[in-house]
Amino acid sequence: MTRVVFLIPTPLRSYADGRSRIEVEVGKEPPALGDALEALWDVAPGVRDRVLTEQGEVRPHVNVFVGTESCRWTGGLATPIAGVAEIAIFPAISGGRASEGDDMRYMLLMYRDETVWEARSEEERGAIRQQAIDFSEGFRERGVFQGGSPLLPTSTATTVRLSKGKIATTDGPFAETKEQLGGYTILETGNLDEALAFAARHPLVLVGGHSIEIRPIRELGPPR
Amino acid sequence: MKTVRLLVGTVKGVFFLRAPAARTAWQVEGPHLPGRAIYSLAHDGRGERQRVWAGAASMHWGAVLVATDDWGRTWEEPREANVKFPADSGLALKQIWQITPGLDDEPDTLHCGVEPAALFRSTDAGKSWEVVRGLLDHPHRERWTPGGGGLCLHTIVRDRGNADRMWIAISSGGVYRTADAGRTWVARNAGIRAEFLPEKYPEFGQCVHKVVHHPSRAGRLFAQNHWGLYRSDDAGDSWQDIARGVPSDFGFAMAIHPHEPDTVYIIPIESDQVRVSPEGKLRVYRTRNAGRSWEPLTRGLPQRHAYDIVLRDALATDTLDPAGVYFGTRNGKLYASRDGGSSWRLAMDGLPSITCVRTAVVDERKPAPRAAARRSARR
Repeated sequence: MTRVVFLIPTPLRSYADGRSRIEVEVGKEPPALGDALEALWDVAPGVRDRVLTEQGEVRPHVNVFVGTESCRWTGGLATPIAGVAEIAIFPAISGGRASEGDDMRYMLLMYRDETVWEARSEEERGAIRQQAIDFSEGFRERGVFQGGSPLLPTSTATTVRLSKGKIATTDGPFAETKEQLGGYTILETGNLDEALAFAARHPLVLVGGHSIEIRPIRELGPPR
Repeated sequence: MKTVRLLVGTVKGVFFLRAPAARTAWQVEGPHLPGRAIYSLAHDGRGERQRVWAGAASMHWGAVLVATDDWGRTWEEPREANVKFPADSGLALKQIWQITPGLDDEPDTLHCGVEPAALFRSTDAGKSWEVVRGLLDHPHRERWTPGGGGLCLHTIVRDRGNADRMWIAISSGGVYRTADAGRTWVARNAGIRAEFLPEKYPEFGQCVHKVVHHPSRAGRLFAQNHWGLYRSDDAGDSWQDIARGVPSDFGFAMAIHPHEPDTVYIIPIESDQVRVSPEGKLRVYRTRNAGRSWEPLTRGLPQRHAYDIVLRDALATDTLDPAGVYFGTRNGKLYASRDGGSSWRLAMDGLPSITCVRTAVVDERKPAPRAAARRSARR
């Protein structure tokens, strides 16, 4: 049995008998945020529709913090809450974001020193790759993760360019650099901060030896 | 004694204005529902009711329908959201754009139009709401595209003589008609030009901004489009261009005279790219011959450096004679005419951006509704 305290923001206290803190018990093991919220709806049913849409998603301008992290970055309603004392519901600041239609697309370019990367065992590289894929896929459903892939090493690259008026094809990357492109990700988010937050939690960054360059995409054609 | 009430929805709450039938001085109350965007309001005076419905949207906590039976002293806030898409639709409510009480002989029926575009119906006086499946599952849905305000169903026109027939309008989807109480819907846009599409006269996809009709002329409709002013004399089967003598046929707002079925009001906007009053003059245009000609109404309205616009539901008439005409602007000004639009006075200034204006003529001798009793009975 897990006990956790919900912090209820002022605008929602009329649906919570005026209370600012509500303690709930969660029977499920291991407990997740969704289980705790279900327990909250039992005692304060009016809070549910203000926090979630009818499709069961956290409303775009509501933040639910498990401890000090917004559940947007920790797995949504599946976020584990074992050992967490408080879950806080907040109206998001949402500055400068007029609507979902204003979302920006960003390309994230994952760079690494290939010699360092290749020095890891194949098993280790596979595990890191899988972590990165799982992490990204966790954002696909909300439309944040739009796609991406790891790339084969630069030894497999071919470069095409115009040389003295003729098309020239050479093996290898365009330029010799200390770090090489190892993969890319396309994100659609409300602002750069959200893309930065994504990058800061990316398994490739956390494992070390990688850097992620974030580039806003110049949209062509009519505004999307 | 009769009083006129103005129901004014803004992006930050509701205001109620009240005046005796002479309509010379207005008392203001509000804001009610402060901080919430009110895109739709309706007065339901059927039977003994004096009820106001509001579509109230919080940026954070979502949109719900709320009601008051005592002009805002108390509001009924639903504990659970009352307008919800079914799970299989995958859709989530964004905004409630229109609330339309039913015909007089169906006193517990209401419809509301929402974003993403869908129609909901209540047959128990607003206690519960159900999506109208025939439109939700319409094969055109996937090709409707959102306009600047989102993909919204913003207009509901009931046919007083035929409870099964109804028109709705979607931006951008166009006008749709049902003849079987919402089971099936057909696009009715023949003759309406889609300036923004390669095919100028598609079956659907037009960006209609508002449709009005007079209850005494069931088959006649007027439409203000995203470019284009139209009239239909055959219940929407075909539309004729009636934009003669207007400075622009772009605009949002449209209203019909309560007693003269050939009299319609519009407030033109310069263009879709420059959304201000044309030439810096705030003008209402009126036709009294069903669109054969239009005349500007300017007395009392600013005619220099007025850069303001009026949104699709922010123009309304009352039912007195002579009719009152009212409109609210995006810049928070509320104008009132008590002579059918011939002259205007600024009734209020400095309001938040105005999204909708509705009117009610209330007989104050009517016994006060037992609002409190009704509410406790519902619990």
